[in-house]
Amino acid sequence: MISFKVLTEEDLALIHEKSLEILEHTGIVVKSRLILERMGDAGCKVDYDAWSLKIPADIVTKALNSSPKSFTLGGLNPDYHLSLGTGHSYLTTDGQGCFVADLESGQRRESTMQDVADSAIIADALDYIDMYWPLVCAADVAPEVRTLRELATIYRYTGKHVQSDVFTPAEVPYFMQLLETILGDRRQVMEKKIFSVVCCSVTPLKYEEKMMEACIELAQYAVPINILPMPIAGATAPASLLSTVLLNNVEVLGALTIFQVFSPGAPIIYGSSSSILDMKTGLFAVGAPEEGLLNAACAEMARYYGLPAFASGLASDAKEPGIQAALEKMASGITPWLAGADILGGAGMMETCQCLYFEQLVIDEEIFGFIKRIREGIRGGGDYIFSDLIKEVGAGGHFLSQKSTRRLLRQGEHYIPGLISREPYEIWENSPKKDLRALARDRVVKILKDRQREYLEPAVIAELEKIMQSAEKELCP
Amino acid sequence: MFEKIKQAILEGEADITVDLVKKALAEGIDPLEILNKGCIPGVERAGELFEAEEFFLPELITAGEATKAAMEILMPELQNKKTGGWQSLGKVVIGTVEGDMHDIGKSIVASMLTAAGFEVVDLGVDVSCQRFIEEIKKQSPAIVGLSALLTSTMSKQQEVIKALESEGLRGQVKVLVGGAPVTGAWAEKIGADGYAEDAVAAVKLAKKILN
Repeated sequence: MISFKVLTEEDLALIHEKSLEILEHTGIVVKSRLILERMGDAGCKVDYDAWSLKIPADIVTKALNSSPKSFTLGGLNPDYHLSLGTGHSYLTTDGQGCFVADLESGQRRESTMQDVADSAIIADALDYIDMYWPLVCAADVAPEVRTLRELATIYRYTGKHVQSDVFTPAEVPYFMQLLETILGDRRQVMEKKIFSVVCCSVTPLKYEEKMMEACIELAQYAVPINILPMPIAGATAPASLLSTVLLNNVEVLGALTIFQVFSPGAPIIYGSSSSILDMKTGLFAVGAPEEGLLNAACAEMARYYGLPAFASGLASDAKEPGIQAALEKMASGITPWLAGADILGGAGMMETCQCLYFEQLVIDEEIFGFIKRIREGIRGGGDYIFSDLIKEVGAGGHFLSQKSTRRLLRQGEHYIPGLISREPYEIWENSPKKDLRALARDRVVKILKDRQREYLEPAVIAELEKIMQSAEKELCP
Repeated sequence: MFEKIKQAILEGEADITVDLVKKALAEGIDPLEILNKGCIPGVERAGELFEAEEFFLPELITAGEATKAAMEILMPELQNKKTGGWQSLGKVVIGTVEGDMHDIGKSIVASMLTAAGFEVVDLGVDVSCQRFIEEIKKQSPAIVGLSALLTSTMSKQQEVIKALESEGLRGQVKVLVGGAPVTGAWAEKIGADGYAEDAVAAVKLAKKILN
C-alpha cells in the first residue's frame, strides 16, 4: 500500500501547537447560550457580548483523548459497514448540490426528490461507492422538513451508510423517530450507526449555533458527527496552504471539544473540504491541485490525533463531464486517497459540487478504480519476483499461458477497466466506447430500469409517512 | 468424467486434462465421446466466458492449450478408429513474416484459433516467404495467417501473396493479415482475403471466411 505525506513531522506539531494557541487566545464564536454556559462551566473563558469562547489547551487535550479512535458506520444492508480508524479507506457520493443534469434532456435544472431517490438507487448498485451522502437536495420539498423527507426516502433505496445534514434542534426528535422506526428501537440506532451527520463551521472561526445545538443533541444518541470546515485559501483563510490546514484544524478541534464536553466519547470524524479561491473569477475552485494537497494534509492531521478522517476530493469545477472533469477529479482524488483518508468524498458531482450528473457516477467509478490500483502499489518481496519463471521461459517466449499470469490477474495484479476504451481503432470506431459519456449514461439508465431492491417494508414506509406528516405540522409555518 | 475434463480445460490445467483423458481411454470410453462431451464443451465454454468478459485472455489461452494437449492424445486414437467423426474447423498455418521477430500477437491469435477449434500450425517468427510456400504445399491449410508488426516488414505480406499466385496456390488458401500497422485498406491493396483488428476479430473472421 502506497502512502505519502504532504506534511513533515515538524509541520504537524507546529499546526497542533498553533491551533491550541488560537483556541486559547483568540477563541471561536458561536451564538449559543447553551454552549457558552456549559463550556464556561467546563473552564473555558466566555464572553456573552461577543459570543466568544476561548478554550484552554488542557480542555482540548482532554476532548481529544475522549474522542474515539475507531468506530464502525453501518448500513441497512449489514454487508456495508465502514470500519473507520482501522486503515481502510472508503468512498462516498458527494453532497449536496441543488442542480442536476436531467437524464432525459441533458438540461441543467433544479434537483428534486426523484433525483435523490434515483441517485440513491445508483449509488446502491455501484460497488465502488461505500456510503451515500445525498448528492442533491429535494427542492420540491419544504426546506423545514427537506432533510427529514430525504432521509425517509433514501433508506428505501440504499442499504449503504447514509450521511446527511441537520439544521436545527427541532429536527432532531424526528430524525430519531425515523431511525427508530426503521431499525426497531433506540438501542439499535445507537449501535448500528446507519446515520451520520455533517457539521460545517463558518470559516474563519465561527459556527452556526442551531446546527451545533442539533449536533449536540444527536451526539447524545451516538450519531457520528463529521466536522467539515471548508476554508478557502486566499479568501476565508490565509493564502498559505499550511495556514489553511491550520485554520481547518482549529475549527475541527473547536467543535470536537464542544461535542466531547457535552457527550464524552461521542464518535467524531475529522473532516476537511478545503480548497482555494480562483483569483480570476473570485469563485471557490475545488478541482485545483491545491484541493488535493489541502485535504491530504488535513487527513494527516486527523491521523496525528488518531481520529478517523473524511477528505473531500474527486472534485471538479467543470460544467459537464469531459476532459476538464477527468483531469481535475483524478488530481483531487488521488492525493487525499494516497494520504490515507478513511472516507473520500466527491463521486458524481460536477460544477464545484453544485450539479449532479448521473453518468458521472459511472465515470468516477473508473477514475476511482485507477486511483485505488495506484494506491495498492507494487506487491513486493520474494513471492513476486518470478526470476525462475523468466529463466524457464527464456528468450523469445511468452508468459500468457503461465499459471501465475492467470492467478495474478484474478488477484487484481492488473486493474481491469470497466469503461474506458482499449480497443484497436477500427473496432473503437464502431463501438459504443466511442462516446464514453453516452455509454456511462446507458449504464445509469439500465440500473434504474433493473432496480428490484426495496429496503423498507410497506408498513415501515407508512409509519415514516406518519412521522413526516407530524413533522410538517410542527416545523412548517 | 466428461464434466471433470471440461472443468480441467476451463481451469487451464493441461496436465490434469491429459491425465483425465488417458484415464478415460483406459476405461474404454470412445475417444470421439471424450472429445465431443469433454474437450469441446470445455473450450467452447471458455470462449463464451471470454466473450462475456468474465474470462481474461490468459484464461482463454490456457484453456486452448489444455485442449490442444488433450487433442494430441486423442488424435492418434481417432485416426486408428477411422471414425472420421471429428473434424477441426479447418487448418491454419500462421507465422510472423521475414525480418520481424514479434511473436506475441501472432501467438495470441494462434492460441485463440486453437481454442475455437481450428487446427493450427504455428511457424513462429521471421518466417521466410519460401518457408510459407513450402508449408502451404505440405500442410494444405484452408487459411494462412501473416503477421507483421513493423512498417518495414509489412511488404513481406504482399510478397507471400505474390509468391502464392506465381506458384498457382492462391486459389487454394485464404490469406489473412494482421499486426499493429496493418489496416483494412492495406489488406485490400495487397490482395489479402481479410484483416482483423485483434485476436477475437481474427477468430470471427476465420470462421466467416470458411463458410
